[in-house]
Amino acid sequence: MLQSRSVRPSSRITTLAIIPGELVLAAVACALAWRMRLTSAEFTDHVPALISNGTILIAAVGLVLVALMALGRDCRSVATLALGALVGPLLGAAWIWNSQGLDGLPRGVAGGFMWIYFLLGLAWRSAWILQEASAWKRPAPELDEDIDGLELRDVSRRRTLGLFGILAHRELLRNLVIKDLKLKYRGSVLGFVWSLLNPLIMTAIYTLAFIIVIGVTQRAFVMYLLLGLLAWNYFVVSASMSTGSIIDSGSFVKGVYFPRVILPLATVLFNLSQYLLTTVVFLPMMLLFYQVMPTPMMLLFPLVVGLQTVFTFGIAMALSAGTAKFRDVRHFLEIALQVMFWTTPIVYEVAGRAPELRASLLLSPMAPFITIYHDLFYYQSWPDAAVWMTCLLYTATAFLGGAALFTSCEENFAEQF
Amino acid sequence: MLRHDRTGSIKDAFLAASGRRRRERVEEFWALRDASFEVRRGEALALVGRNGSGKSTLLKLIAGIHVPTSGRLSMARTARIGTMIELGIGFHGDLTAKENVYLNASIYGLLRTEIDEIYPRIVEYSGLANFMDVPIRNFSSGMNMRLGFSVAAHLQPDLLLIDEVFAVGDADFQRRCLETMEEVRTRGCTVLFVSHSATAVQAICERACLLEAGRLVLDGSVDTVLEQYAGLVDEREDAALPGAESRPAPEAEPVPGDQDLDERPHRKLMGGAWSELGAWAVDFLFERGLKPDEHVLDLGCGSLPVTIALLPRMVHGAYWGCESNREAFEDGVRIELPYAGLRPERGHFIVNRHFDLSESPHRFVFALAHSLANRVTPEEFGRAVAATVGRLMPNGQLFVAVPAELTDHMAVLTRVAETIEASVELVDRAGHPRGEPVYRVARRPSRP
Repeated sequence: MLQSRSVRPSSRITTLAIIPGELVLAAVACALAWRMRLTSAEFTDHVPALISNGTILIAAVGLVLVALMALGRDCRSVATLALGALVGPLLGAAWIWNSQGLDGLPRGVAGGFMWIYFLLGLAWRSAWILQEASAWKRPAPELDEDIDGLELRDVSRRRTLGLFGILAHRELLRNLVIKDLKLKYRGSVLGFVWSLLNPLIMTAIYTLAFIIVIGVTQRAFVMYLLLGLLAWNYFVVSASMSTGSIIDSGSFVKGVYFPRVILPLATVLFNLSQYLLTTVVFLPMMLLFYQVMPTPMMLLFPLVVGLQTVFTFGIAMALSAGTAKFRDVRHFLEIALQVMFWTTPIVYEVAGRAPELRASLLLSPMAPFITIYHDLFYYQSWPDAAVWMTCLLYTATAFLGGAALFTSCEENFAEQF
Repeated sequence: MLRHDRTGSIKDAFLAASGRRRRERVEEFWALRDASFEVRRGEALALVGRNGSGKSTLLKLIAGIHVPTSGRLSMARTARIGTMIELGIGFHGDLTAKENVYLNASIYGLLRTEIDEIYPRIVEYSGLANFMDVPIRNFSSGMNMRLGFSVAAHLQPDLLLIDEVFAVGDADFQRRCLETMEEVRTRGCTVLFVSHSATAVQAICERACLLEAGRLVLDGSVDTVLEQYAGLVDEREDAALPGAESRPAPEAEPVPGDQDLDERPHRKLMGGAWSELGAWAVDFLFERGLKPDEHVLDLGCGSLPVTIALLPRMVHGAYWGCESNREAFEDGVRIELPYAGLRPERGHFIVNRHFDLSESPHRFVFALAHSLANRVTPEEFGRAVAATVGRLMPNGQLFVAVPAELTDHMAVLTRVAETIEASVELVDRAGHPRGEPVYRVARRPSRP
């Protein structure tokens, strides 16, 4: 039933080591987005060339990999993949150059190809960290013997990020979210109305300040403001609540085992439910009031909310683990959120300003999300490719970095109390 | 690993990194080492050993709360673990008892349908059927504990880990615990049991392991191991605390049924009614809204009459004791805590002459000086009160018992309160076991 054995310490890969890599990649991709400044029109122009020549490049990579495999190299090893990824495009590019001349390699193809690589790299690293963090990967049970005819497994190091652990504790996740919802409204007379009053009053104040005092002339300013404010509130409240997810749950963490990642996840899901509830009330109201026709691109709303949720979850994991280690994180966050609020186009508009300004504002982590909401509902136009790119980048970086930080710290949470 | 001077601030980390301040002292400390054993299905194993021998650490490793630095822990693939290390995890005062049961049970990984199935049995067992839709902030601590235990008892795990939870209840509660254990055993559940109570160990287990300084010393039948353990306690008791060597012959462990316990010097020193103080203080504080996870200060904890009752009802680290009489305090730690089956690490203690509370990083919600005024001079008393009020939360309250005949102390109390802008009011005239009036000292709301 149960065995405990003393063996030598096993070597451990620290998942934290990938964070510098994350940061470098983020910087590279930002620089790339800046350099290309892919506006929608420019991007569309390059699509045909991208498809035809991109296929050639990918085929070249495939061929190189097959050749390497034929030479007897292990195709799953990182070195082989990297070799294929380097040699393949060079061969492909040489081929295109030979057949179509230098014009066959437009900026879009090169950039698009790098972008594909970036996404593939992200996918590979996501798979790696999930495998590293989850319970699926176990050392071979060479020490385990059957006693009582029961199959034994090693439980000395339980990793919690695995989807499996969260699924097994889904009832806990549900109960935690429900608990927060109940406690929020229990005993208050106005109940849910409070959640609607908050954005309304903030909107009123900003409208007063920007339209009446400063004299900004912008059509449908209230709708512009509400779209940004609601999404921003979702992020801000999740981030500040998550700093306490671990350290305010001492009795949970010390008394029993469960996947710790459920605590920040519950915080984020609770705020997601708040966000959706307020949006369901305000958004149709705004669309009706300003007589905006529904467009098919509005159907992308759930996708963006999903991306923002993953992004927020990543930040929440990092903050909850960080606060458990350094209490300073809370104070730092207060300042950082102020900076982020004013560097994100929520209360002001940037459409029509210099591209350099718009591109630099995209560096603020919440800016691409808010910009997409504005594009979908306020401008009713497709968001720029650069906006999508930064949005995906921030989501992936926040999630992977947060997960790495969380998994590297979670074993020590119980000792923090 | 044991880290000294462990701090949680970036400033310290930077200072340490830049070498301007000495690095934290890291001392290798193995809470547990060379403890290899096997437990078979349906077996009941007791883990015994002195305080700090690693029993609880071992249990928490098995539960997955801590992660071993090295070593290996294997378990049947299908086994489900139930823990009784802390009861009523996640209980929230504003939720009803029913909501709390669902939340608590789901922490152990049960799904909704499974909880629905055991819910009626939990209600029946706890005997709280009429209170299930009442927010549990209205519950007494006993009711809370009964509810927590009922949930834990119905989880139907394959492996049950128990850490001294029986020690906290009254006799009736302990009897029911033993009954439940027997039922659990007959169902074929494996039990790992940590306890200081020889009777409980004998009633539940047939095999025991003796841990000493983190090592497994003996693995055998309950009687052999308990015998060895008793010898170990006698022999090493005196060396357990620093400064104990210079003391006269150690007093024997108190045994249940000893009528003259209150005549012991360390108990008499507190001013009488030693054994009644604890129960009174717990009722008194919880009635006034103390929550188990709030920081509470036992001002003048002496030989720990209130500690033994309050400590188990508070979460780990929430209890703080402060005392100026080192000898009385050490007697309390050496004699009373082990007798109550408690470990001092569960709370925090500050022992110094001046009631200097700056060691505590927290502000307190409640503070109680149950036997301070009758033992110290008016000046010391005034200083202790001033220091304590300075460490209270803005809405915090200090309760002090001052015997009616000590007018000097009362005068000092009023004067100190005047200086630090606090209010003093009489809240309890006769409840105190020695009949001392109890005053409430709280900061006045500051003027805008």
